[in-house]
Amino acid sequence: MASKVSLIFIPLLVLFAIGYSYAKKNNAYNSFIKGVEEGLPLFKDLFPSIIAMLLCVTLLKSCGIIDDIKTLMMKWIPKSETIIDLTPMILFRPISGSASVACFDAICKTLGPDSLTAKIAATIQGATDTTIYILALYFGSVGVTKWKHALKTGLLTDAVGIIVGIVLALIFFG
Amino acid sequence: MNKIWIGIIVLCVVYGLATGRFEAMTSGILALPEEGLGLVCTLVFSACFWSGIMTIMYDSGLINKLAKLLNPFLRKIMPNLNDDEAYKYVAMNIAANIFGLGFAATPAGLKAIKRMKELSKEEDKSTATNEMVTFLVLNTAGVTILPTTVMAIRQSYGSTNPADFLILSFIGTLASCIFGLLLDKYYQRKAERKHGK
Repeated sequence: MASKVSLIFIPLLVLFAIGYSYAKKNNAYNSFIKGVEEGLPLFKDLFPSIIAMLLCVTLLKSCGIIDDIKTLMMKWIPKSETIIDLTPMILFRPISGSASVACFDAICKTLGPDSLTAKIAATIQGATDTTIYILALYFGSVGVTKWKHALKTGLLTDAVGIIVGIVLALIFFG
Repeated sequence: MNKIWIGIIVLCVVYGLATGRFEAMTSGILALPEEGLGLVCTLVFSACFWSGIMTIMYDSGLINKLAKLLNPFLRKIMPNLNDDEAYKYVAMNIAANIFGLGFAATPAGLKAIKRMKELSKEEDKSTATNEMVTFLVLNTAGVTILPTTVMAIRQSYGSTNPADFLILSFIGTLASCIFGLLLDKYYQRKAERKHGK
């Protein structure tokens, strides 16, 4: 049911966008071409940071530290695998979008894009954002250095997003 | 970021060398550029496509309309802002964020916070106002309903239904937004009480 509703969303959104544009006598084709073009500079912005973060993620995986922690934790807490697989992504999420995306990519690659872990990870990515990065960007732009309760509120909010994401994904996909 | 980056790399390499994982590390590092290119292509092509769809919505005034619909709600959660211009920028930012429209969201957001600073009644101008905090809490709660990046990556690995989690992440986003706003109000009240007496 949840998947069905999700499935019709994207085709409907595309239809709605184009239908509305037509009704408003806008040139949808020109807008689309312009928008795609605006996305291109992203390549130059993303490539360096993605490579840098992939280095971290690749090393974390290949040096065996995560596997060793996993084996160790499995002895104490059974079924803690999923949590450990998600931990690097969750830790990176508030600091760097590129790093958490690289972690998500690694999860899809090693466990498969339709694995329960990948579905939980996808839900978490959707329900949270790069809190520390956003705060630094916006407050930095106007020279605000005293953030009040912004940081703890932002991070606790992410924590709620993560927990809700895990619980929902377990209910629907588990 | 620099310290975290160096820290992770040094830790991993030392750990890997100590436990004898030479082969895995070497092949991992050597495969990295190509893997990186693949990932960036997935991300950029998907972003380009959605940017196209979102620009259709932007140019036809749909995003503006959504921003207008959001306005009364924003007045409720930031009652002390009381400035049409600031509300307009905040609404534009949130509306663009909802559809993951980064190129429209960030400029509007920066204008919003600049306007809030001009209106700031704080004695020390380097202190955040309550409105700034509320605005950024909404931003950091991740109001987006279309996580295009995540769907693109799942698609690139051959997922049978890369969008099947959409409704879940929407509920998750809604939950974290509501929680964030409530927590923000709680901290505001707490600070006021401390200030008052």
